[in-house]
Amino acid sequence: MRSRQQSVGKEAPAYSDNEDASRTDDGAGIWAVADGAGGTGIYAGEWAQYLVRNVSKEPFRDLDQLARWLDNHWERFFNQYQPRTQGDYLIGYKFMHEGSGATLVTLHKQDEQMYWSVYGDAVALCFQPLTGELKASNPDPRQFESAPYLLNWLTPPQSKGFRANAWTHKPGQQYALLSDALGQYVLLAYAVLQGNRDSVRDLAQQPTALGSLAQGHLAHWCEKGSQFYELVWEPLRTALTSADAFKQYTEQLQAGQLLGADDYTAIFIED
Amino acid sequence: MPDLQPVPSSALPVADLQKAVQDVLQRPVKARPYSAQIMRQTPTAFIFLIDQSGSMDERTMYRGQSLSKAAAVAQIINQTLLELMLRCQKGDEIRHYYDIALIGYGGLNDERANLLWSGDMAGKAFLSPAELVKAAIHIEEVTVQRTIRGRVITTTEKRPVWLQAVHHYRTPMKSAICMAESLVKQWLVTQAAKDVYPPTVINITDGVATDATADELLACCDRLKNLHTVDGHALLMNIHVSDEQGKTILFPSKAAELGADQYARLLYDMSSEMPAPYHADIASLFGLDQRTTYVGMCSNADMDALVKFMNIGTPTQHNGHFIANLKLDL
Repeated sequence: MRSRQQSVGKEAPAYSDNEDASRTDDGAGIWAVADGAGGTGIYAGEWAQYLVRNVSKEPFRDLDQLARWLDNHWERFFNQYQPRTQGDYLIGYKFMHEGSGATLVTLHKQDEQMYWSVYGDAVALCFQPLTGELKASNPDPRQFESAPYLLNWLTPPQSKGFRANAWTHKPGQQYALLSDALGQYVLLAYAVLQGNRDSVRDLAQQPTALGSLAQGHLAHWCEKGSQFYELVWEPLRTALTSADAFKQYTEQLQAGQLLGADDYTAIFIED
Repeated sequence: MPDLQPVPSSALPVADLQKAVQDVLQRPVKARPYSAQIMRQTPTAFIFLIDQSGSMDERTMYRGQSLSKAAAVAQIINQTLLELMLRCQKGDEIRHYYDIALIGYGGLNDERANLLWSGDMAGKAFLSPAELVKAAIHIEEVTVQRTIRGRVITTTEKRPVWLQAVHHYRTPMKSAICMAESLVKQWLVTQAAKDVYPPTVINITDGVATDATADELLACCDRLKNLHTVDGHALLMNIHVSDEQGKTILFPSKAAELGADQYARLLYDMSSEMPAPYHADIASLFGLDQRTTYVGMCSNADMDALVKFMNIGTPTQHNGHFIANLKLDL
């Protein structure tokens, strides 16, 4: 299989920071996106990179596997970064009290199985263009109402934050791994275009930024019929051809009030 | 005494400032307020008003210790400022997500409020988080032993102190509110009508204003609360720390909850209605029923309630919904 990926920071071009990290290993059949969470903890971008770099060859099929993997890897990160905190008491305080957090979504191809795992609110997607069916690791857009679970070296992972399963690969089937804001965008658009609007209407009632987004999706897609492939999926795939195209794509969606402000990272995988 | 006090860091003459403020206020509040993201290009502001009058030397309990109200409030403010700074620490950089002002009333004199930053930052109104690091009066060192995943680690933690316990003189609260109004106006002008989360003003007191009647105080608070960005009106939250008499009132929804307590009623009238995005956190943090209205006040609160109140008013890690809404680069 072959993949394409892009990533852009939320404050680009004014600031170039981006705490997302991704890994595309087409030969081994391993893909991963980690969204470093700057809201709590420190060295979030470094932690996200560390996580994707160390994703094992075997998929995370259950929480125990994920927890054991974290048990085996947390200390190397701690030992590398804890000495760096010594010169700055604020960094030291934050490191020891809050650790480093990131969401993580992985996809492993083994034979004809595509094993996915998600910790937090990043999203793995499987789309079949022949039928127009979209499957998602965590499909309910209401999940984005609350702060996500974060994989943190400081604490063991919790069962509520983890999901894993597998999709059987079929010819032509395509996959995407998306950081949370892009995941929100695709799930909201799909729900409205497929006519599954109750959850989006619930969200649109909320007096939050996510509520505004949901309202934007209801208004934008309502009259468009079921053209998810043409209007959402293929434009996402096309946007991943270059950094400029991806930046322009996310800016347009933001301007149309369909995409929340965030770092954006996407991997697209196909035959 | 004039209502609008000169603030040292103001760059504009008063007439120009008023004109600029009017220009900002001409942009109406958007349909879904209090949803702007806090980023370096769109920061917000916090202003803390601290009663430093003589009565703040009364004893209270905080974290199992008997200490003066002034000392307890100083500890809580220092912890809150540290939390705000920690939210801004990203990698090796302290990002400019907030402008922070600290105003004391009483303490230094009977008649007017004062900006409290000291050292190199003395006289400045707002500090960025990076400046806040330099404004600490001193740093306390504490040896802490922590167990992380079974590994015992001993570290020396440093905790900055910006506010010390002071309790002198009377309670010129109106002067403090008016100074906050001036600061909010200046801040709005610097934001040039951008879609920024509006300033939050948190007033902590144990007494009654000695420089104004209730009507004068309310007029001053109303002016402050009428200031706005596109994202919403400035929020004024008031907390009356406990004298161990009377019933504790937290985020009431209507004046009838206050009974005959005139001072609680005044605080109620002074305070902002809390925006809807806060409601779930207020209900869960304080164990309150879900209601359609919560007013940002607290009367006869003990120190634990004050800590929780500060968690609602400022985005710390304990306030998950607010953090998600403010989206500090998550």
